[in-house]
Amino acid sequence: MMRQKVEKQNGNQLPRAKDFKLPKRLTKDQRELIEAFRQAMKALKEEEAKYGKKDYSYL
Amino acid sequence: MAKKITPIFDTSVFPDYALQIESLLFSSFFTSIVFYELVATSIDEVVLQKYERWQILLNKRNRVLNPTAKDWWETSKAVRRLYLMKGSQHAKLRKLRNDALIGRLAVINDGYVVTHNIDDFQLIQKVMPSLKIMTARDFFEH
Repeated sequence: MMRQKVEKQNGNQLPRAKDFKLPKRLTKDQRELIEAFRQAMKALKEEEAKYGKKDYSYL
Repeated sequence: MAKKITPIFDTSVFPDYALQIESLLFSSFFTSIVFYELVATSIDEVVLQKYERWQILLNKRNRVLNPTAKDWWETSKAVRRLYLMKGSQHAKLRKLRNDALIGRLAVINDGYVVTHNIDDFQLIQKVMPSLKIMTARDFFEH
């Protein structure tokens, strides 16, 4: 129900994750960014496992 | 063929869809509001350092969107319109500032917001009619 409502409002034309691809060949800078993102997300997940899920709504 | 407009992620989707977002790093925008929320709620120093490294590298590639004075102004006016709406829940509006800024950045950068918090963004859509949103589940799983 929610999905239909949101699609009705936004159209069904927005691309999904599957419509985007990483470049086939990555530069050193791109690999560096991917690794930094991986590390950040790993740290976030570890922190959530340690202290609980974050709540951003009160900020 | 769908037009390739740019996905912009709300903070809440990161822990759940980190793996998928990784392959979208060069085709998405990231807002400074998301970094604000991640950093402000981080506890351990090492986590902060990892965010900083990621943010610096993203900035180098011009993938971080920052609200300008005009964005703050227009967002304030949008939230004011909600405030003045009959039956608006004022307590809820206090929590909408960051989402409204993300919405504004999506509108002016030809993007759409991918979020778990559809209710909040639908409220913002009432005063930002050109804002496009999609649930994280629809975006990542369909």
